[in-house]
Amino acid sequence: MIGPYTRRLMVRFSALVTVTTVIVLLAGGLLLEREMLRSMEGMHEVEADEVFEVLRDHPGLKGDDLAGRIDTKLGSDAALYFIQIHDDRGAILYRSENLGDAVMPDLSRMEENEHVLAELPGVGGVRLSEFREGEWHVQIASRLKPVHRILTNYAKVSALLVLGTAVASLGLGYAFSRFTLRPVRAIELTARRISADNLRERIPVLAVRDELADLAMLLNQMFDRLEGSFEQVKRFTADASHELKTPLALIRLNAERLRTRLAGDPEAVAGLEDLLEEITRMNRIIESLLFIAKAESGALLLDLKEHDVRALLAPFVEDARVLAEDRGVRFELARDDAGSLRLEPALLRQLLLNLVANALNVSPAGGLVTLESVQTEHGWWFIVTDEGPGLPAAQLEKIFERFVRFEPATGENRARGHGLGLAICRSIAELHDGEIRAENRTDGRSGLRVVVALRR
Amino acid sequence: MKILIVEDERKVAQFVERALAEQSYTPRVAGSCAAARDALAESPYDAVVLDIGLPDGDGLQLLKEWRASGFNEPVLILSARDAVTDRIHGLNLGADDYLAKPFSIDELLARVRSLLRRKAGNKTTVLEHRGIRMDLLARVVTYQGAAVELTSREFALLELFLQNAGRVLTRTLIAERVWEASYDMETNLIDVYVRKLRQKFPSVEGAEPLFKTVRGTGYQLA
Repeated sequence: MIGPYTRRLMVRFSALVTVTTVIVLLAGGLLLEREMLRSMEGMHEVEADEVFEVLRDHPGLKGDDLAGRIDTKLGSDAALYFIQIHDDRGAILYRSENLGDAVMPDLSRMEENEHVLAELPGVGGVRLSEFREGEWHVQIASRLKPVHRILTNYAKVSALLVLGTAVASLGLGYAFSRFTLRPVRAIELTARRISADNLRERIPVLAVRDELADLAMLLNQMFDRLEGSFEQVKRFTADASHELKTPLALIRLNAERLRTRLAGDPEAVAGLEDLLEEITRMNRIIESLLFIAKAESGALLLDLKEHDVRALLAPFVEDARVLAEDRGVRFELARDDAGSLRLEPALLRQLLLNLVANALNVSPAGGLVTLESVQTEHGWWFIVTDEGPGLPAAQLEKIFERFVRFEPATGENRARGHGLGLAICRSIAELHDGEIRAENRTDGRSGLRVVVALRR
Repeated sequence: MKILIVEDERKVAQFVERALAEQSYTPRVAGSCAAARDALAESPYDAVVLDIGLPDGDGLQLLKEWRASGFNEPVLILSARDAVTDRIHGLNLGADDYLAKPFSIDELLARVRSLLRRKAGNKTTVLEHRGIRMDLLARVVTYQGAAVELTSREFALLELFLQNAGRVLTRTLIAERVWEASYDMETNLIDVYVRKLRQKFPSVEGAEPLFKTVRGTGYQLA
């Protein structure tokens, strides 16, 4: 599996190498052409020297005599070049036979010995050089065709080379990007490992200070702060527990002691019992708040293990039936899928018990509360449905917040809630990498449907 | 029976000390880790009540040291900290029981008694009380000679009552022992089950009711 960044890096590397190759080959082609023209000009110069030698040795020689002399002097080389000689006035002194009807262009405007590209009719593209000595203008030209042929071959070979380079550089680019990204992957792996349960670990920082070392240090600083704030939450909850519960323990112990002493005074005993009940209630609120605080900060770590869901539900369903019977409500396990799920049994039972107890509380007498345990593609859904009045849409979101209560529809004879039950349910769901939501029934009946969706 | 109380809150320690003394145990208080180490080095104890948050260290660390050095007597952890995780942690480190603050003194006494009894290896297989007879091996219950059908929860609850007949059982203890729940169950499930037991074991006319409610605390099998 190649990551998108690795792929991008690979393609960029390949593009870079290919473009560089193209530029190098183009430059090579230009240099090659220039070099070939240069050597051609060098040959022209040698030939011109020989022609001038003939002219110098035999001044005034003209026509066929001159031609004969020149042909003899140049020997077999003569066939390779087009040669024309004229004087300052433009009178032609000599023309090589291979010129045919072609006329060399007049280059008298030019300063000194020069080389140009020209087109000779019947001959084609040539490199033309003009050399001057005294009144003589010697023009020598050679065909460009061989040069063009070599350049064409060069271009063909170059194209193949570029193609090969492009392919090879993709492979090299993959190796290169893997190699380049290795330290980044090391950072990623460590960062993944670092979670609430091992906040101590840090990304190793290499001795060489470079950009990646800076990044690693920056991340490590972030982990330091994270560890600090986790520690703070843990310390806070421990401190809060201690500071709140110790006085509560003393109040309770004193109250219990008083109860035995006041045994003869029913009114005082009743007051003390109220006090004891309030202490229990307060302790419950403290426990719940601390639980939620820890869960939300990520400082609470669960030891999630695979559990058989049916086996977990069986005793819970028994309790739910007993509770429902007591309330005059029916409870039914409408769906009970088989399978296993990673969870903390005590907390999941508490979540379900809270939801079912809520559903029972809002149900009218004889109403039906159902629990569905549904295995889904990516996890598990627990759905609790009641036949109560349901909720206004605006309240559906809010019921999982702390200290939010909605008035139960029936009865007064139930344990007073403290408005944290559903907030705890949400914390438990989130601790199991899941979520919880409430919706009004859509099947035409009134009632609430609470869905706990846990991921596998 | 000598019991060491390791607790830095002086007043809480006094309460526990007095209650244990009233039950004819011989308690002694240590207010810090150092004092606890000294006390245990000086003389043997039959049980330890150990608070986790101590001024000069962590009670759990102390427990770990003791267990490593071969101290095998029962240890009851007393803690104001988080009930769920601390409990698991403490029991893993070799504690025998765990009690969260604020606790009822009755509950503390019940737990200490149960720890010492377990240590003595008191293994009864038949429990009897006021006409109720429970055979733990055959899992059969009779009341006034007639068989009574119980669900597994009812059976577990009745067993807890019978083993602590005459003592007050707090809701926390009942939830822990019968429902394996270390949290408060937020429902009146316990009351409902006690009500069911009352229906299945009606009191004989004129006699004191079997299952008494102790308001603000829990229940008691009279």
